[in-house]
Amino acid sequence: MPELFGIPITGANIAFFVLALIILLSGVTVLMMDKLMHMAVALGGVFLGVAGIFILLGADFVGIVQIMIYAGAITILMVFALMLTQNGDETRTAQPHPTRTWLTLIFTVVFVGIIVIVLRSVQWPVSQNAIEPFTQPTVNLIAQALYHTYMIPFELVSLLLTAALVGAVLIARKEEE
Amino acid sequence: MSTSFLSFQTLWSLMGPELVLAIAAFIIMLYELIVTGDAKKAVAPWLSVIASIGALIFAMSRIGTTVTTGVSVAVVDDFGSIFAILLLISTILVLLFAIAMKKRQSLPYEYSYLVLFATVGAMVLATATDLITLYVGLELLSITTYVLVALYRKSPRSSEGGLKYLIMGSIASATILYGMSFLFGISGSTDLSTITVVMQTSFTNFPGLAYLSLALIVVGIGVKISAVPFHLWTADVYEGAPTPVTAYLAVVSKAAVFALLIRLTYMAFGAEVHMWYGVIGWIAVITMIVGNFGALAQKNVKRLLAYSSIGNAGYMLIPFAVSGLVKTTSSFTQGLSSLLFYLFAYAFMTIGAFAIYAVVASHEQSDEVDAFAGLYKRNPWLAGTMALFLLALAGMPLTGGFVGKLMIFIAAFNAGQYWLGVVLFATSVVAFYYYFSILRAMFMTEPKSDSKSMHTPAVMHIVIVLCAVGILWLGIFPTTLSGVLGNLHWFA
Repeated sequence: MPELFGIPITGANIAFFVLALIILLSGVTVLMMDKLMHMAVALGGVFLGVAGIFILLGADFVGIVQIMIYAGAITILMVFALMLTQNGDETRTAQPHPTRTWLTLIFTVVFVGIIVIVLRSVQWPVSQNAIEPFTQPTVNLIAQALYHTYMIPFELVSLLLTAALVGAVLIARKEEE
Repeated sequence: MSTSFLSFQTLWSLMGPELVLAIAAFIIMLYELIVTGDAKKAVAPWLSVIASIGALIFAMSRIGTTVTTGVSVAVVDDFGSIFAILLLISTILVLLFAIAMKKRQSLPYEYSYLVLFATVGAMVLATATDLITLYVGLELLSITTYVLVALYRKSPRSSEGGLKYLIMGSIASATILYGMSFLFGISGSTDLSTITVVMQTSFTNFPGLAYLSLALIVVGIGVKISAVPFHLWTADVYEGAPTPVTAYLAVVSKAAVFALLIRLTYMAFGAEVHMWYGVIGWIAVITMIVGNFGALAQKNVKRLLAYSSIGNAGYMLIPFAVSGLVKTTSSFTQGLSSLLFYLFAYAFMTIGAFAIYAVVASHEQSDEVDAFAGLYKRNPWLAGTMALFLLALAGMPLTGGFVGKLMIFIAAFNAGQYWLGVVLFATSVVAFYYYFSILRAMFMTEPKSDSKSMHTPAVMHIVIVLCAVGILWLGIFPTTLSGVLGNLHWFA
């Protein structure tokens, strides 16, 4: 099999790098744009790319949910919220000190370098008895995990969402007095 | 992992106190939906206090019991129970503190159940034995406290603090999650006991991944407990938050994340603990030094107490750092006991100091040390108790702060780490100096001519008396708590 930098060139790998590129470019676009509306649309690109990664990993149900909820509902919700509330949607960002920019760059390069070196050097553990790719639909497996194994964290997430919802209303509402 | 069906019976035996708080929180939400007018603003926080007392009694009754079930996401053991008691006592004190401040610095009454949600998250951090459950507990605590910090909406500082805390806290959570993902990658399980078994050999098989995972988790937790060099958000957030929330962050949040640090790192990385204790030791040392010297420069009392809480995080890291070196189980549990004892003392003295600061600062409309000028002549009771709390924080004998520091000191010496003990002692001397600036203002300067006598809300007296009795009791009869701690069977 042909290799490039030690990575075999397969369909899955090409798809991964294309998706990764989409996610990274969309992410950078979110940061570079001046208008909030453009940021919201670029964020949709990130969500779509992540959905592609999920599908690539065999988690097709999570991938489709990701498209429906994140790329669909949440992006649209943000666009609506911006259209209903924003008067001038220009954001202004203070230019950080150049020293800080350089320091950030150096630390980021070192951090990413360490992670890449570690991940490339690892022989990942592979299960001895080869797992058949999903004997049942992933929806069943997810339901099993959510409502049996991870019942308690699932219930805790409902507390978390309630607290976040109340908190968002509290912070966003008008002052009573 | 066994997937037995989770009955309510099992859930109740595993997470009873958490359930009490969660159900109470929803009942209070319903109550405020049905009742209108001023009644709910007065009653809702008291309902939270009652629920917390109920949960506290429940948690106390579980000391000595151990429950492990087929549902392996959480256990009941004495480590979780003692942390639950600490968290609940602190929550009750903070709630009373917030009730006392309602005339001065009124918070939206929704805080009464948000605090309960946050405390459920905090208690989950002490009892969960599963990566996903731990992470959800951490987020429940964090997200709720982001809201609590930004609650005081009239103040731009509160919003600024909330935003800073949100950004720093989210990055820290993401870092911890990234670290956890490597643990899952190595072991193929989110269950901590399975991870413990797999990680016995992983430092030789996957050294890079194991250390990367450890580093990411320690950095993320370092941000949450405001250890140096991850402490830069602390002073701004503590200053901006409403003062009862500041006390909550300094005590409940910090203690809960310490519980996470201990259970997660011992279970996942305990096999090679002698390899990494030194890094924690150095973090403890620079945290003590930067926290205490940083406090020297502060004129704002809230920022001073924030830096003091950074320094205290350094003291509390010592027993954790040295426990990797001890040879016997008894000295390991002695280290844990010293940490818990100090946390109890720290809870009383910190909440007490913030309570009196809140009374004085809201009366004088000033956060500066000058607000305390001549407090002794105007209100000797407040001046006397504030002196008690500050001296306890500095480590004066006859207070719980002294006994706690002494126990940490002994734990460091037992492990042969004299240098940590020496730094603890030296930075405590520095601490005396900056606490003394407040004492001098209270006792040795004249009050400003236009100062009126200071009225203290009745509930605040309860908070101050409870904290003062707690701190003196731990100082004079330390064996009542250390005896209990000595007899615990920490882990199931």
